[in-house]
Amino acid sequence: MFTCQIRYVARNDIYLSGIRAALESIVSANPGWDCQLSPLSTLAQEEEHLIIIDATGCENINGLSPVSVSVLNSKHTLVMVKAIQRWFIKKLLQQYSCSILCVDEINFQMRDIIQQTMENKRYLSPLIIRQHHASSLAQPVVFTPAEYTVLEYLRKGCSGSEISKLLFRSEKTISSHKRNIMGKLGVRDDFELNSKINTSIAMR
Amino acid sequence: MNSLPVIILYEPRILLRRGLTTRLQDEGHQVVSCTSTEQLTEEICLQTGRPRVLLVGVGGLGNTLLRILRTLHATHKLSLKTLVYLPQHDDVLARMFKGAGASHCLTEDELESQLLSLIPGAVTACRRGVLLTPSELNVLIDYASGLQASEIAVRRNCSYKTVSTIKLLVRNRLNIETKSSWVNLLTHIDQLTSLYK
Repeated sequence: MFTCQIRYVARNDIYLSGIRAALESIVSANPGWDCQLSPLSTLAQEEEHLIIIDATGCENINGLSPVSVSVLNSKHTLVMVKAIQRWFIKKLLQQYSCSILCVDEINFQMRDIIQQTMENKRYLSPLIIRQHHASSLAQPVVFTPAEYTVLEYLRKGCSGSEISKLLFRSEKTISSHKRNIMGKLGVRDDFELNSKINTSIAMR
Repeated sequence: MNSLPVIILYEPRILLRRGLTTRLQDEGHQVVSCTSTEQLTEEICLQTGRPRVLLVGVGGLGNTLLRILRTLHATHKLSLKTLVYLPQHDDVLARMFKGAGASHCLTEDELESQLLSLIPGAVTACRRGVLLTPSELNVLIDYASGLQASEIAVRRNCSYKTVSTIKLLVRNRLNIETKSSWVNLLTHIDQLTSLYK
């Protein structure tokens, strides 16, 4: 009889009950197995096999509790994130070695996660792998200071003439900065520019 | 027990589907979980006599999002309450789903606290002026799938001027004042639909 000790730090009860349901189905399919799910605490307990941290809704690492941050470098730690937290995911991938699960995954096997983390491998769910791949392919783009300023306003959703009034420059100057930005990013129209500004994590 | 509404859940993401199903079943609701849009249509058309609630998770829809918009629009006359939840707070997207016929629009973070209180209660009739007309919905969906005004005109067999008038009507209806928030809306739809490609 093997009992898998799982600790969690929960924010959203729905994700937790999803995890719990997945574990129950594993336990019922594998008779020699058992799982124990309990909240993470600082008290010395039996050694845990998997720590699940719910980081959905965290803007940056500081949004996590100190206890969770201290275990982020272990491969036994599984952090749950949403696909929209691109900046946070990038930080986790670069600075920590924890496993990451995207809650927006259409399908995943809880069994794979437990298996991989027990073998001390880093588990990354398919959406995370894809995003990691895309961001490593992207060429870093260098902007001039003036272009950066214009870019910041564009991100806020200002139009060209609004920016020209705010920066005391002519509309033509702003337009030319914007054209240069679009050239550097390789986009053709406003729609592509907007989706590039909002999705690309290389530019922050 | 029988007075509790049946919940038709359309949530492609396995974790949320499992979680929501367990949570709602714990409260005593009967949950019908659909995995395909065909099954969803079938469940919606089924006449049971019991009140029903349709619950749709927008974040996992992927490229079925536009089809679901049409489904929502087609069901607004049935006695069906429709609840939609978005991955993050977004006023314009929420207005668009309400315009397409959703009764309420939540975010995933609010689900836990507000879902159970929203399920009971009668179907609220859509206020006039909020709901998009069929042609407005068509044009909005065409724009969201990346077509230009001239292409939509050919497709819908009308003048490009008609298309831009309808676009203006959509923007008025959804209260989109600036061009940037219109572009933002299209970008957000694009992000949602291209997530799993």
